[in-house]
Amino acid sequence: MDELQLTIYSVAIPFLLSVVLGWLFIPRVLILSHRKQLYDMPDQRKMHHTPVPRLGGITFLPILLIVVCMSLGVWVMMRMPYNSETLDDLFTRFILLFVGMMVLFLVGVVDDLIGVSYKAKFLTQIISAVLFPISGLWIHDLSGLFWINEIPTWVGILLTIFVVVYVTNAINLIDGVDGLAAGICFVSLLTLGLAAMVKGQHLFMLITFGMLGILLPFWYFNVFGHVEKEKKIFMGDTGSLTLGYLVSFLLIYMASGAGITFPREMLIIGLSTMFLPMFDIVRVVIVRVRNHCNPFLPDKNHIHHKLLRTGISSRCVMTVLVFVSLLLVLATMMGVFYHLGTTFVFLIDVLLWLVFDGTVNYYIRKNHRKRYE
Amino acid sequence: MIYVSVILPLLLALLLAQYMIPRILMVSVKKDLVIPSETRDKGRLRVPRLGGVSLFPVLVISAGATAALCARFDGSLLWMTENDSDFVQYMFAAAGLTTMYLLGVMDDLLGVSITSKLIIECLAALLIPLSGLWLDNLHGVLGIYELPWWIGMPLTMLTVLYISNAIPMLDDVDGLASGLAMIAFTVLGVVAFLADELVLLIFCSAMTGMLGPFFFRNVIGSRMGLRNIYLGDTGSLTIGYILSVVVIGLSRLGGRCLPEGVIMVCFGTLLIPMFDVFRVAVTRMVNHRNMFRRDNNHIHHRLMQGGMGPVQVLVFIMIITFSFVILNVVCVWFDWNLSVLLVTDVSLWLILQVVISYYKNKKRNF
Repeated sequence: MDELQLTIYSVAIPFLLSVVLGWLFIPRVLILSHRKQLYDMPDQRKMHHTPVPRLGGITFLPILLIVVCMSLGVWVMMRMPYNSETLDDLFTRFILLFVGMMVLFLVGVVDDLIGVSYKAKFLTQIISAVLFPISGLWIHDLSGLFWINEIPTWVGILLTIFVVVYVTNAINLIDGVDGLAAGICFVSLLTLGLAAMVKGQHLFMLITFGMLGILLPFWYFNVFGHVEKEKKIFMGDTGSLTLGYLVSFLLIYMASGAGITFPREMLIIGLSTMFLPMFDIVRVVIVRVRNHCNPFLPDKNHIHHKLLRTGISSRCVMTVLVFVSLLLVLATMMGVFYHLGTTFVFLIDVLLWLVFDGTVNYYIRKNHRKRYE
Repeated sequence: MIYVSVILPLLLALLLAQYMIPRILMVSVKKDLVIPSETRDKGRLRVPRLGGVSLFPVLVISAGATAALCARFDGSLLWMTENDSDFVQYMFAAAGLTTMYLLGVMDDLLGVSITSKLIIECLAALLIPLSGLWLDNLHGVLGIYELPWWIGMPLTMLTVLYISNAIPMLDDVDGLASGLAMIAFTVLGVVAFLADELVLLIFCSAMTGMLGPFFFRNVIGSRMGLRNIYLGDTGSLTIGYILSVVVIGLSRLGGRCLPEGVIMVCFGTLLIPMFDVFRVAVTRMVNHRNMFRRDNNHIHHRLMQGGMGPVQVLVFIMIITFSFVILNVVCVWFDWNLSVLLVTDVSLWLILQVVISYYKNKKRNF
């Protein structure tokens, strides 16, 4: 088979399979949650006031497992080309990916059903993050970010664990408006998937497009489902934790350059897909520390809360934020394309984000004043 | 490394299951997921049937972590470089297992109609022969040796379906399903150890480890005041699917790195549930009753009608299973003809049935 057929196979088969499975499975989860009353009880911080099930995330891991196993099995069975020398390494990493996802899945399900303290959640995130260095996967090279290139092993391992926990939490915290976390992850996975497609990394394409395929029906039910018709669903902590873990796995795998052919700037491109939630966490933590609050306790200061305060609808918030995320990715890609240097590209991203945040603050003040008058 | 692949998944699965059971109980009590007790188990506390929910995640975590470690430190121990057909088999089996798990969870919580349940089970069972894991040789059972693919593949699929549906019937007596499955997985684990099948060995020891806490809680814990938990359909479907994969995978090795008759040892571990389901199905068909409706005609019901308590039933069935396993192992060791061995098994089992019927009728006539 030639390259084109392989690419089509590794994009279309997992994508279609997981769209179909998601389409079949998510309505069942809805029926299940409504019949067994597995709701997220509305409270102060949340945006909604009628009970909506938040078990949508439990579909992600099983469907991804089925899709990846099936398409990988068929791949090897049809004797499509693969590099058998690196297969051991790949196998180790992908199995440990699913092990870590499963740990987060279990914690997430318990959290969605009866609640888990943030300490326990944090601990499990660190445990699952440690699996990456164990499988021989850590950031070797900052590729010129802050003028640092090669970094020592232990720094790389600590940095990897930090990035995994950071990205996982970032997605967990951005999941406050319908379709927002799914939309940002969609942009991120699409970018990573296209990068894998350009470089002909079929295994990555299987995983990214499989996950994209699940996000599509989920996103539909999340955004367009009617609460009254019992069609609306949230991804909950299960979804955001597993999704965040998967995204950080792909980021770090592509950045670590362990025997594969991604360019050195892949680290900054991959991270830029997550810059919006990541920068937002920094801002929120700074604000909380300045106000002498516990930085781990939830409040209403995230970017989507701020955007809602400007007076636009929640669907509009989602669109704006996904668009800004896309803009950051495009800016980074342009910067990398014109060889501006990684640090400079990063500074441009920070600048763009500051401009965005300033604009939001301006509109909040305007809206506030308008309401006051 | 092979000792690591026995001990590590065993301990990991045991600890994880021990950790998860109280949490499942807490969730199912708090969220009222306790299935109301129906006619079949009268006079008991309402027992959550969600224990099986933990089996698949624990298996993924413990077996996955062990397999990954083995692959990382010594890749030649697994299958990769020279033999990629094993890889396909495990991938397909993982997909099928996930399907079975989802089906079981839905069935436990919502109830799935028998038609859609059968269709999904057929799809999951079909993955096994499609991945190249089908019974290609019966090694002389009933005088049959080589099988063509158009008999072997449907036969394999039917075997998977049959075993997956034979395990749920054991879930009525405390500890019976977990106890029998533990015996089966231990025996199969020893066979896999002898055959140097590292992945199957990891599966077997992980399953043995994670069923231990269930067995303990069902048999002893519930009498010490701990809240009881059943495996439910999720558990039995998961156990049945893994059992059938392991049994078929090991049976195929007969004549290569194991003695010819290993097929009888493997299937011998599942003899009681398989024969019993067959007998029950025949009885229902003869009496023109619905094949799929549950009734009180299984071996443990008959034993209880014969005057045994639940613990006695459990011990009795486990002893019977164990002696059948010993018989099969010894006969295969001495290289008996497998047809003769099968006939011996069937006739011993028939004698057992006659004895049970005798005691049952005696009790009834009093």
